[in-house]
Amino acid sequence: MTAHLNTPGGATDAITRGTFLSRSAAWGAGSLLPFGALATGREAKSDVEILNVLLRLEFVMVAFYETAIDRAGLSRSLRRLAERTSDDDERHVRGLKNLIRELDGEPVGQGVIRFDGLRDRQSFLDQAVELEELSVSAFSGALPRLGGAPVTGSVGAILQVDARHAARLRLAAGLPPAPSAFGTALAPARVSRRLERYLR
Amino acid sequence: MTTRSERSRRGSPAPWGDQRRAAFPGALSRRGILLGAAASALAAAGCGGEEGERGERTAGRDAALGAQLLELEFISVDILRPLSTSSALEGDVREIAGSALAHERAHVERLEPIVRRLRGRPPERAVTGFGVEDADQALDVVAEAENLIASAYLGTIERLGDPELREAVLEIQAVEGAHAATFDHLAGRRPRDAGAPAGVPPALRTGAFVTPRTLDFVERRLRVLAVL
Repeated sequence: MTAHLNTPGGATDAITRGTFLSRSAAWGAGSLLPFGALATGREAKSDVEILNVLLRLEFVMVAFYETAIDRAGLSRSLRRLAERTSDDDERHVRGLKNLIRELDGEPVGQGVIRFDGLRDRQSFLDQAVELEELSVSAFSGALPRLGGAPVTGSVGAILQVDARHAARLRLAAGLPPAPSAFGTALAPARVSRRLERYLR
Repeated sequence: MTTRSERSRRGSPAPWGDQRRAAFPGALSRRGILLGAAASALAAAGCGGEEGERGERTAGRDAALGAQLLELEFISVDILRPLSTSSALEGDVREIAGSALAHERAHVERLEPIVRRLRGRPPERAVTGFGVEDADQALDVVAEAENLIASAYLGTIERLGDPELREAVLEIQAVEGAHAATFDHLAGRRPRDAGAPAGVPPALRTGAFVTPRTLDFVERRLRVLAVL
């Protein structure tokens, strides 16, 4: 059964549920201790804990764009970009919450989020680029630590969109859209520390 | 830098269940996840002396996947090269294309030795019939190609067993996503269409999740796009 609709070419071109199951089987013991973990030295964190770090990050990003739209006096085109990006991030929040519940976990709450110094176009772009890049590194760091195909597939689908957000925002800021040939990864614990400044 | 005008319109949101099914291809039900784990455990328990054989099969599969990714990178290099030098494009667009070209070459350098180590055979370097006669059309083609390549990387991650190849793919895939967004922007393509081919209902073209695609599918599409 095809697990998504964006495949007018047919199920043979899509990644199917059956494929995921057979992949898990093919991985054998590896699916319980992912290859990425073997390579990178896995932190003792469950998938739910890692996904909750990513969820907290997406909460921060949604709140950031909402605050910027209210306060930063954005031009029409930047405002539209902020709205679109925020819409995507809201969908990521819902997706991650669902995923956590499917793993029998409890999604973290949003809590109180604050942004200092968000008052104009430049401060918006500076912080937006920083946050989206943090997100790309966070999702990249999470992927090899997660326990298998169903979860990594969902996280990967978000990661690339946040990479797109970062590129669009960098372009808007007059920066090179993709500054490096290779992405960097940040461990969940470091992501949590970076988020502390926004959480009250 | 000028781009074609964006015609972004916000589609009415689909119910979350539909969106999730549409956009979270890897999101199995909890039962699915448990079944996967059980299947893995069974496979592990039954492997016994077959481990070596399975390791070889995995290495062979990884080599083949790595070679296919390399082929996509070769195609990407070949279509970005004329873009980076074409006088039909503005200087800053050429500069961006040149930077993307350098990235793709770096990806080739990263992937090629891994494929060789896995005893795979790197493919021949692609020579496409792609040229820049019309700047808008050329940007459209490159945007489509970069979206396809990004979705191929996403569709490959979970299939890889070799840690080094997996790490390389993880490092590359976000950059391919950034290239896709960049050329979407330069080509004036709606961001919400990212990863959603023609025929997908507007309500599902949210662009909030990238659709993973198989390497075979992407390679077929690229061959048509790049006139291989």
